[in-house]
Amino acid sequence: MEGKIKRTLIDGIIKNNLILVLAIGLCPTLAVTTSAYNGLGMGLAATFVLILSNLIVSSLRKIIPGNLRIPIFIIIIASFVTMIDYALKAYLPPLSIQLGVFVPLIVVNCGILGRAEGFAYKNPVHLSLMDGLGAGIGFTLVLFIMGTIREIFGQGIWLNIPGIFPGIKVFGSSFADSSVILFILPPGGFLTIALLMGLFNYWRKNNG
Amino acid sequence: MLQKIKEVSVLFSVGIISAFLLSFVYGQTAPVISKYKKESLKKSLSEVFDEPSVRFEEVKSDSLWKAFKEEYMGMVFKSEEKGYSGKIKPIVGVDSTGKIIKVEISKAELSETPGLGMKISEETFLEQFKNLTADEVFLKKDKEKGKIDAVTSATISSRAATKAIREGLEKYKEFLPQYALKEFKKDYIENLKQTSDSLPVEIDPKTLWKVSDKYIFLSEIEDSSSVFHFFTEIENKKIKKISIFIEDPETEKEKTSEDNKILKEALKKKFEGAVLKNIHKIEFASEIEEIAEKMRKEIRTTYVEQIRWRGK
Repeated sequence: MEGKIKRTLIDGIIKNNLILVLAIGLCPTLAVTTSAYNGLGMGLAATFVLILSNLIVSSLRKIIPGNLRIPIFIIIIASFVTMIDYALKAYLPPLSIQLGVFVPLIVVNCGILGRAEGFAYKNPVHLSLMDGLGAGIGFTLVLFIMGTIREIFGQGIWLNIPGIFPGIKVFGSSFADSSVILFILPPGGFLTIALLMGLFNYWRKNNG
Repeated sequence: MLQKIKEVSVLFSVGIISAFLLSFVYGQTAPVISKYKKESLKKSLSEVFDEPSVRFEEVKSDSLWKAFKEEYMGMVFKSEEKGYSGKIKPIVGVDSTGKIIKVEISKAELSETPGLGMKISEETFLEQFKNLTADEVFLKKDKEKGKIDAVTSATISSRAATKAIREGLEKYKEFLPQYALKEFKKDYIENLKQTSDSLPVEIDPKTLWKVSDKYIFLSEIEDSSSVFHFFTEIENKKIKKISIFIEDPETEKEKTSEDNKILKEALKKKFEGAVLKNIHKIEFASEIEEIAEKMRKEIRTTYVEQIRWRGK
């Protein structure tokens, strides 16, 4: 039992990594990773929803009918995200403003629907929790790394948190003023993600 | 059949329960959110109009506030313009001379591209607007007089924000306490130059102009309590446009009360579009009769003496 829990968690991060292996949830990934902080924020918010969604779908899996499962998943996920959005706006307004449009974007994160369909629907609650947590951690890590790469090459800074921390000028000020803007534009997103996918799968192949 | 009913009722129940939960959460959070919005609006107003202890009076809902201490100090407006992926809504504090005090663009109402367009909400972009007048509020690359550097690779967002601020300044200028006669005259001529394809030629200094086929003259008439300054545009022997400035002769400021606004509108309506040779046939409502008569006489005299004989 213990082993299976740990196995599920690790699989969520590596073998079933949403972005690098399963290649789902790419839209928010590409759009949001223009900075490390944005990537991190989106990752954490999505992880939160992913865990909750997996928990609910898994606990209801016996009564959710097979041929109506997709609409039911969508209702659950969309309602959840909306409730979280309202709650943030009311009780944590500064955080809500920082996350901004990212929160509603979580609804269309195919990754959450993907895990509900691909795992939570067919597995017990404790394992679904681990899968959600693992997938979320993997997702967040990739978002953070992508955000870092694109921010450093695209803007010359790292960890810029608007209003709180100006970020570290990793290559110095002169680079920051004329950095490779391409990286924060869509082509940069595609290039970075392709690179990461290639490197990750190469590493996996050589490490069993 | 029973199977189908069972399945559909699960879908139905999930839907109903979600709807119920959602409306519950909405009901709980909506008042908190609206209270927060009111407070953050107050904060924004004080932020962009940095005089201590002013009170704000809302003039137009969610668009225009006047700032008062004892007397009228200036205003704050909120305008909007379509940006790259949504509306951009700057809040601008303006002092009594029409110069920008400070601009704020709330992140909560901004949905441009993160890392690019969103940067227009940051101080480094917004501080460029301080102390500018309307004619300087352009991107440097758009107009020579412009003083605003766009955010790199976010030209559309930057341009939209700049446009929103500039157009707000133009639109609400008349609410400034100092909008005076000379500004009215200056603005009219500026506008004329901008909107004509050739430069206006001044025939009589400061009172009569010609541009293409149009004649424009400035006249002045009075009644018991006000002085009426108005520009008349004549094209094809018809009155094309009339622009009126009602002056309080004691303060030399514009009379902007509701009654005066209605009076201006009524006069415009009667005169604009009228054919000059039939101008004596226009009938006026009794409330505006006295001043409209004087206006008519003035227009006719000026036309006959200054324009018609020149045409020959």
